[in-house]
Amino acid sequence: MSKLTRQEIEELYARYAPVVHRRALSVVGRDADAWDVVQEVFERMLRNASEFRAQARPMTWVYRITTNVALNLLRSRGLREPEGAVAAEPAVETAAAAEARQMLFKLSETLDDRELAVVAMTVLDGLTQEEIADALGLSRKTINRELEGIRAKVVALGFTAFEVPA
Amino acid sequence: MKGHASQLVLDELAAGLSAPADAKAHVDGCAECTARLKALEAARAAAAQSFGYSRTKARVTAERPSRWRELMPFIVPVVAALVFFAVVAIDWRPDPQTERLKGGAFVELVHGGRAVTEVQPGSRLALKIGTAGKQYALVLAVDKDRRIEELWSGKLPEGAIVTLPKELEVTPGSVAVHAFLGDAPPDPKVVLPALEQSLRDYAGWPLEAPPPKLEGLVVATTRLWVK
Repeated sequence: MSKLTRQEIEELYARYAPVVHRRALSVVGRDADAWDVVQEVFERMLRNASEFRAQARPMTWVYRITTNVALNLLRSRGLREPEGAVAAEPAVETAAAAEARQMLFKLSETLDDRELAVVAMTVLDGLTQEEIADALGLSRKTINRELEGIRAKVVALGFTAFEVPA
Repeated sequence: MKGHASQLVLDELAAGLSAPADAKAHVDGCAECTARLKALEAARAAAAQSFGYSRTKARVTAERPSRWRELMPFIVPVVAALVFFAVVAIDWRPDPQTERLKGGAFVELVHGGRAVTEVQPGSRLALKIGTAGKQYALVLAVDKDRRIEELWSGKLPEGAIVTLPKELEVTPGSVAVHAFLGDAPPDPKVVLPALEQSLRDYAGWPLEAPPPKLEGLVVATTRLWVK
């Protein structure tokens, strides 16, 4: 791995940290936790600098890693804290975001990592199937199949708001 | 491009990255997408002013120790423990059983877990063999009348010292027990005549007669005095 200079790291941080923070906040719901996610995502980015540099569309890499790290945090927090304690700071969360986050929290007990990432990219980011496929490094066909399976599981869990994206 | 720009495209544009050409063209001509992009840029600017942004930036850009230096606090105690274990905890003295095997094969008659040489008739004994790396055995008993009886023959169980899967019941009369060990099954047609010849050649008490030396075979002997 080629090591990044301090200037390169600062440039990457300025470019991606706000995106990572916003996405992380929509999953974990707490500002301090969201910044912890930012730090972890950048640790991974710096450890895998060559891989990151090789991305044709680096924002998809950032989306994928952010989703994974944030969902891991959500899960581990769900294990430590009862459900009611996972409420977000009201000032930083809209009603729609709160609903999406609560749904993710519930689904994190049932869906596997990839399914959960697909749901996050659908309900939080409104990505198209093509974009989800890009971000996860999968074919659009696979994502389409995955989404149909996920929708069935989500509906079975009582969430009706989940719509398969175009 | 169908519909409005996705969040991904807007994030790319807000971050100064190139986005798909048709998406960029759409945003430029779409009031709704332009408004979302401006809101996103404002949110980025606000995030960059926050305390969390600066604190996390300081952590991310801090001088990073090398991977080895990071791991050193864990590596040092492990290496120290291994050295201690190698120097102190491992008994480097040779295993007495291994050493015993180096001296050659042996055969013992075992009763109650102990090797015995004197027993009463009716006792039940096990045969214990030091294999000396051989795989097959032919175990013969010789009584005072020079009669030969086969006690056991076959492939030895795996191991340097093995107990044969057969129990012997002691009948009246002392015996010499000879175990012939080989890499191939010792042939009774060779061993028996050779042993008979040795017994004939020996002028003393038959139980004292030395076993024959046969090519490819190792012989171990013990004696059992039956009272």
